[in-house]
Amino acid sequence: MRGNITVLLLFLVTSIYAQKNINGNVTDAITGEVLPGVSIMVKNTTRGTSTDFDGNFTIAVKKGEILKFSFIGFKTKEIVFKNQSFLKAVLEEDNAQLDEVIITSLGIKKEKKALGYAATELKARELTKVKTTNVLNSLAGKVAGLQVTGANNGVASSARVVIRGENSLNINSNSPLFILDGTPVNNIIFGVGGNTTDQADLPTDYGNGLSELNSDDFETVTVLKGAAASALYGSRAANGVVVITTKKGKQHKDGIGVEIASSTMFSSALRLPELQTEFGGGWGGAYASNFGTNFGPKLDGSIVTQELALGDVVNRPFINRYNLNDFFKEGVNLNNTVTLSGGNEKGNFLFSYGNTYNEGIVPNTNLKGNSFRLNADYQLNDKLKVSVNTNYITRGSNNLTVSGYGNQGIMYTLLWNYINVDLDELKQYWNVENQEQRRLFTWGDNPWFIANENINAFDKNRFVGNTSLNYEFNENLSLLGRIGIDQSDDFRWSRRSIGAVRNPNGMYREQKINFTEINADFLLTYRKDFENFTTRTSVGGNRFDQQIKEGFLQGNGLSIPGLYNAQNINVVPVIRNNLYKKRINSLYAFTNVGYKNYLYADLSVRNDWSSTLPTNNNSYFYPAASLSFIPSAAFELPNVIDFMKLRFNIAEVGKDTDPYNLETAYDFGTLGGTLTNPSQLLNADLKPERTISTEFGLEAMFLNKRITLDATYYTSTSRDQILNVGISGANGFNSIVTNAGEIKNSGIELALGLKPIKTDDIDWSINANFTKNTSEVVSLLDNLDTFIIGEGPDGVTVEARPGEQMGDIYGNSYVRNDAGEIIYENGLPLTGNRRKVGNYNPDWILGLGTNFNYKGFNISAQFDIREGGDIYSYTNAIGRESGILANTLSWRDGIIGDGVVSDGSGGFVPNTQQVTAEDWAYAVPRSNAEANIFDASFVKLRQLSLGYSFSHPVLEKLRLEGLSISLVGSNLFLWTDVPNIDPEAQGLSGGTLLPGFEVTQLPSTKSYGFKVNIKL
Amino acid sequence: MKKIIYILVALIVFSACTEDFADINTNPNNPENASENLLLPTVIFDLTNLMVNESYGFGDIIAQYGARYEFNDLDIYRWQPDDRFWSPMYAVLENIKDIKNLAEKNGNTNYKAVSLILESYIYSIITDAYGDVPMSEANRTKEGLLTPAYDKQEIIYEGLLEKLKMANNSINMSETIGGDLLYNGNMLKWKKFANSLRLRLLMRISNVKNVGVAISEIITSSQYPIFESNDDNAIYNYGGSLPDVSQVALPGGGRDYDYFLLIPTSHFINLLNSNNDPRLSLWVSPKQGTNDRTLGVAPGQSLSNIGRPADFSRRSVAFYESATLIQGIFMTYSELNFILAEASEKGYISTAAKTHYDTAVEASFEQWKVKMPSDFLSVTVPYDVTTDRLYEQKWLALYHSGIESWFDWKRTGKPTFIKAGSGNINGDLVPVRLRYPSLEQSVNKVNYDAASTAMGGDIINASSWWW
Repeated sequence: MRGNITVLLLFLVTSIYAQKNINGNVTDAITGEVLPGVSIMVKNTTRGTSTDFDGNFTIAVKKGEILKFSFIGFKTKEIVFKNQSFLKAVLEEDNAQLDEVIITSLGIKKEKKALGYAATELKARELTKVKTTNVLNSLAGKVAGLQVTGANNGVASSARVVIRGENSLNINSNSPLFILDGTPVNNIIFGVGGNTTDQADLPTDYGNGLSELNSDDFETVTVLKGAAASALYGSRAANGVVVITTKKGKQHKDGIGVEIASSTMFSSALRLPELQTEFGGGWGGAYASNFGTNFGPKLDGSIVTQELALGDVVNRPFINRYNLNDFFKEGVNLNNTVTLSGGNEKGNFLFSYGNTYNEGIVPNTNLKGNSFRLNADYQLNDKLKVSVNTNYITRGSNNLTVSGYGNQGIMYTLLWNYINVDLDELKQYWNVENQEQRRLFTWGDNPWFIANENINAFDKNRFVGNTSLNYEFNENLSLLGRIGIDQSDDFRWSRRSIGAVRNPNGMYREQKINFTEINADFLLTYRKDFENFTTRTSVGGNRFDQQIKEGFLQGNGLSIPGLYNAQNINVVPVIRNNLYKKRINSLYAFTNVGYKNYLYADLSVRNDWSSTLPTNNNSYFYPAASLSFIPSAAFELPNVIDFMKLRFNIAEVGKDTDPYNLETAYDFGTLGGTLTNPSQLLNADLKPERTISTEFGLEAMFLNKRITLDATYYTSTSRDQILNVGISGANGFNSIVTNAGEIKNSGIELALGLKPIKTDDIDWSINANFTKNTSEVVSLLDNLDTFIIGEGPDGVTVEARPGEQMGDIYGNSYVRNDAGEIIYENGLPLTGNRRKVGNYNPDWILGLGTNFNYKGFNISAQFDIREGGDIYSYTNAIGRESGILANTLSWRDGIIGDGVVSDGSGGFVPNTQQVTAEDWAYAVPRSNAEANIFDASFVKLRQLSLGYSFSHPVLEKLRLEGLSISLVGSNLFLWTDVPNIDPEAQGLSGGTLLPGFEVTQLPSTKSYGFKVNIKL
Repeated sequence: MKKIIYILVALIVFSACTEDFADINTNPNNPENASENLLLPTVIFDLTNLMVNESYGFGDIIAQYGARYEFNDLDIYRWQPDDRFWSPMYAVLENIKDIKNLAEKNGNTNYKAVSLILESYIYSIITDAYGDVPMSEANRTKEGLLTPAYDKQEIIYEGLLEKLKMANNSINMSETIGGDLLYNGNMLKWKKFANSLRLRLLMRISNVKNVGVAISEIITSSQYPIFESNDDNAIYNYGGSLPDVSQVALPGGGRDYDYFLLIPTSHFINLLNSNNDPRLSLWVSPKQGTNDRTLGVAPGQSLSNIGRPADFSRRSVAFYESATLIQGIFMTYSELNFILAEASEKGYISTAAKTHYDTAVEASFEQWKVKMPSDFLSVTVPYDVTTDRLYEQKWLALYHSGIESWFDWKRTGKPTFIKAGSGNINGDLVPVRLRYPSLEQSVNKVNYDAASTAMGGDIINASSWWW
């Protein structure tokens, strides 16, 4: 009886405390290994947990409840609790990784299989394997369809990113949109200074906005390529979207996880111009003071009267003392990040601090920064979740160089220099401190003076962040509300000393830029699954507000030498204050329907209202649709095919313009109290631009994922572009703003992944991605024959002409006869009318990467191959004119040009007239564009890394969770036919990057060093 | 359900928030309206800078006062399509057009007159430099006219002479104008400028048209006052502190390399030296390190024959270093008298040519603030109709007066020492026009082609109406 009562009591006790804490363990079905981080939920409750590092878990569960085990890459498993004392779950690998999730615009996680458009995901470690100063450079060659071009403007150099060709005739409007944790982040370059050859005011490259983010914080970077992928994010996404998510905290068995990532690299010039070493400074075989050219006497050691600096005359052997490496130094790139993170079932947090310190190869240039990040998620109750992502960034430099051609520029003073000169002997650059420069030429600054006294510095603070609330009404309906901000304050200042060539009275300049962008959005989502259908519908809206404030002060005269501030300006300064505001309201809806597991359809619509368009025509509507069909799920395909998907999409995107483009207003004149007409006439009748794109794609995986393939064919057409169209000068205005232009781009992208070897110990994979894009300028405006997209030096331009392609370079060319021979007169080639001399877009791009793992060892390399495309090189033009380049050596014997002369009666005979090196140097190198255009094909070894990750036993002894070290190198080798420069260069005009032009940019750099990653 | 309704309401409110769009897109940085007195100073200052820069950089070379020792394309006549007197001039004309329109609207006849005078001055430069150029269809972008047709030069000149006459007649002497950086509101001086300029233009076309009556009318009638002394000169004087400084001069940001790139020519130096003309020491600085002002370079040689700048006398150092010596010289009393001397020789007016010649030369010395030697006009360069002396002295007097010397040479062929240099690549011809800007070939092709064909090709040796 007593036993029965005990049992009854026990039963009662069991019934009252019906929930039990049970222990369990999760393992991999195939390998038997434990699986940490597996999510376990008790269905229809809020109870949940995840497995620890040993695959163990503890959870409170009642008899009869269902436990749901889920983990990425594995099939979800459900187990009914039947009072087992120990719950063992075995999960099967989901071979085809169909449930792989990808982050799309709006930060929505979507299953990759359901995606009807091309998207490529990069894991963060691929980006941080080798740290680059500008994170954009580390994307180069990794994604089909994505082209990244560096600019070679020094340590803070910007990079230009274009996805699937240039759709816009506005050279600055071809950038994709960058999203950070669901909120857009600004990547604009705010310029200061004039164009590439504005010698009085060369621009400085302060870097683009993306380069300020700390890539050690990144979790994934997903590139959404076509308009369809982005019809959800509005106008700015017409050129594609790069979606970046940052790391989230996870549960750690010791509470808080600590991770340290440290990268130390040294850099030097990748390619320096090849200089001749036989003839020194002067003209006509004699030494000449203040000339700049190297057509002087032979450097044979004889005693020649020469100058160390102006007025500093010596008699000494005339030999080659010139070495660019006396000036350029070794650069340093240090990046360190500490990350703390933790979490539990309710929430997680992550805090990171990153520091970057860089010194350029130009002395006295640097770039420094700090990044503080705090991410947190918290489940307030079972329906409401709050998320916060915040990043506070500081960035600055004590000095950056100017970019372009002019006597304030470093390369100018290094190319126009005498090779009998020892650069070290010019280090003393003052005759009278702060007042009189010691230099070799009256028309050019001493390069050490430029590096140390012509300062361009900046100090920037930026805050990027968002906070969102997610409310789950029930399991079908949820509402997301989010507000995000990108706010930066940039203070830049520049100084030129009294005695500088371009600013003999000195100069002081300040520029302040305040940028604020706020995005507030909401999204209401309804999910409903039927027997064969899954549906998901969302309705949302966004309000976008952007404000830019610019303050500018420049005085071209200082009274007290050596004192650089506004009070010391002794002339009337240029002062301006500008404010730009813009707002766009949007509403959108999209629905995704899946049929069984093999057919998915997407439809989205969006309407924007923009403040920048006329009030009676400021609304534009644009839809998108896509379809994806998975034959491997619908049919029984041969075993060799693991997965196959076909996708198609079509989308339209509308686009507005910049603020204040509707009503023409007067500019302020040069003299105080005067007004003047602007050079551009605005247009009150602007309409929105439109881009329509289509895409066909195929994704497949073969042989147990040993071969993966992603192929896409796309087309894209942009119409009614809002352009500054150049018009005849006789109109009194240089340009009008109008809707014009139709541009078409089409191309193919191929991404191929191979795993030649995959065993327990060895894992070797090869990735190739191939991009080929062709563009066509279908039309401009009725009477318009050409549109000038950008202008380089000496009248060389990038123009769009109907029937031609985007990226065509035009300039003066040689005059040729019908046989194609160059026509000469008086021994010099004739220069004729302007015509097309090249195109800067490559024929195709191939990124080739390989990764080899053996136990803990890892070797990886990334090559970037570009075939075709041309570049106009001013370094080659100037270096030849100054006689400093090695390829001018033979000129001194006299030159008989290779061409023909008129015979006086309509025919041609070979040219036999010899001209001196000096005459040739002045008439030929700079006079025509054709003489300086080169095929810019190149192969670069972008990244190389050799690393070792320590294994468990070693780690246990060291009491660490993880430790890996690697030797890394970036931009290590360059193979190209372009002489004297790295052809991956761009000019800078104000704040615009100009592809196709190299305007005596600084040498690009190669870096090498090591990385250490520690997990505590 | 309630929540859904709230959301829908928010949605609607959201999208309705476009009322303040017009506000947001109103430009807070620049004014939409201007007034004549704020535009006129811009016109005068911009025109001055244009004419000074082109005088020092181009006019000096083509009229052979100076020659470059490097980058000598202009000297050897390797001339490319050239925008220098096109877009910048038409941009000034756009401001003038606004002044004219505002003046008409406000009933300010003086502003309108001044705009007509400046317009005529500018158009005369453009057409004298290029030939047939747009005028009746120019500056009409706001009407949608983007491809202006080129007017025939003869028609242009008719229009200019008409404008100058009208300007003179409509000036109201009892009112004044503001923002007048040239004459400070003195309307009588504007009248004098209008008529003096008209005389210049009439003389310009005297080889192709009968201008005797018109010229005579200006001289004899009191309705058309002309310059009476150097006080009436149309000269802009820079204030001397930035930004009111010439861009050619050092205080205005000029590079000494650019300034001393031109070496005084042998023509210039020899003419001054042979007459012991004291203007030499004002206009020419000695060879560096010496006192030698006799070393001029022969213009138009090929580069390797020129030699080094250190071997020659130099352009005036004082003018480079000063913030005020460089002036914007549009037209002077001296030039006027040279014109009248020629008019007399041609029998258009009754006063003796010698009188005007003497006045012209004296006025030039006074203008440049150099003491004329007492026997200069009696012994050194007395008036002599059988020689080219008048044209040589006029050439000297026109130094840095825009590019007037070139235009005058085009009409007269004198001074005869202006000739293609030994290194020229233009078939030994001195160019008589600039090529139309290259942009015209793309954005205004039809009209460009028509104008080029009409003159036998857009080349630098092509004739126009008066040359």
